[in-house]
Amino acid sequence: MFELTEALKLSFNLIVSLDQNLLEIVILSLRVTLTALAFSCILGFLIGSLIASNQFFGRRLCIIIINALMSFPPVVVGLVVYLYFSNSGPLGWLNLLYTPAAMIIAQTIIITPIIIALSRQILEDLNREYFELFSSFCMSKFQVIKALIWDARYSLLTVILAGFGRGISEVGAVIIVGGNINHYTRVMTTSIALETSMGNLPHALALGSILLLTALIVNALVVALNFTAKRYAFA
Amino acid sequence: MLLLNNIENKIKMFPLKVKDLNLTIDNQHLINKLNFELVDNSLTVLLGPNGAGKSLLLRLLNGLLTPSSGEILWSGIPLNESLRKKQAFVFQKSILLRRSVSENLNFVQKLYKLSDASNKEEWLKKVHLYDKRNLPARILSVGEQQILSLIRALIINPQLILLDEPTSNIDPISTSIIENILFDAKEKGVKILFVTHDILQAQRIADEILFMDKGTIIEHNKVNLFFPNPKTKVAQNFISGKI
Repeated sequence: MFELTEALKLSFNLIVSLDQNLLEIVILSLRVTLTALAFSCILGFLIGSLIASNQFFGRRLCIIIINALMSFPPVVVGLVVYLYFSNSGPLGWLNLLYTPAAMIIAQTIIITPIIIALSRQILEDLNREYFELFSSFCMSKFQVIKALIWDARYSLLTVILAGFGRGISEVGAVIIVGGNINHYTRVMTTSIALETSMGNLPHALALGSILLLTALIVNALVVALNFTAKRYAFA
Repeated sequence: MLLLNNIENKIKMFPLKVKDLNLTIDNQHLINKLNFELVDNSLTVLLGPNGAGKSLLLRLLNGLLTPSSGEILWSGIPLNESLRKKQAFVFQKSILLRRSVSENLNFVQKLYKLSDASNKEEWLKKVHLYDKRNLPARILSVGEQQILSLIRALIINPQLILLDEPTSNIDPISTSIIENILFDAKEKGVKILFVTHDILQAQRIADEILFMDKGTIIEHNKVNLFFPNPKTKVAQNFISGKI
């Protein structure tokens, strides 16, 4: 109990003193996750809306596979990315292994199925509601997708939040493809794992607190946006 | 008045000829060998008991459903995209976008590349929705939502407007506003095809009646000839409230 209190005090000091090492790790974590999230949203919303607004052979199978991919173990994703980008792998010539780029690729692979599956459900419900209206307007597929995404934008914020949560808390894949290199590929989760194994609990706790704080701030932002949406944006 | 521009440079849609139209879904014959002809510039009411196929017929005419067999010819031409864009559909339950009243109209103006913003404002003023233009469309009353759906349909200057029981769930004042808008539209040359169960409303607004039962048209007559002397037993029973 004493150790925990001490650790909490130290972690508080690290945060308020804006420890350089800590700041570097936090910034890299956010950079990796937000970049991966941006790629995942572009891909995920596009694929999700295409599945939501089209009927095609194998659609149900496609949905089952995407839903299953949501629970794909990150360690396995990390391993696959590692195999592809290692020197003997097919993409080894890109020299991306143990770089933030490899971590972004791994996180994109982990987050994208979540974005596709959740956005597909939201957009499909909306498409069911709008289908006859849009058909009577003879709208093109592109116009339909654009209108669906725009009208569902506030619901899709929750999807983005889910993707962010998955990315920022992920450790298995980034540790394999990033290598947890100090000042280069060390992010909050890999650092927490390392500091804990080294017995450096204050540092681990400080990082854990910041991770929690980040999740809290992002959640609060989304709740605030949804509240605004209900008041002004006609959701 | 800008509200309803007289239709210029129009693709000729009428006469509409429907020949041997059939719709079969899961071995159920929902529309049976349907034949009729409509001319423009009149308000035609589609009347008939529940399950007669009135809404299905509207959807077939608009291209929302594809017939199993038969032909729908608009001035001799089968339905295509440019002909579909000359039609507007108002659904029984209004389908409004999750946007403001004004944005719902902007949406179709952009879609149909219509530049006249003042037309939109005039419409909103005319139906007393101007003060509510920035409110979410979905918080309007059911009657106001249906009025908004109707002006959204008319703002694209259609040659034909198809209305599927638009007044079945709304108050008499909103019904009256909708009927007056339709009279104005008819004056400007818009053909109106209106589905209703309400016999009094049909007598009030119709120029002619298409009476349907069991997926086929069994009577097609001028309103002043149909109501005093329905030729079929089913129509007689319907008018007298027995079915």
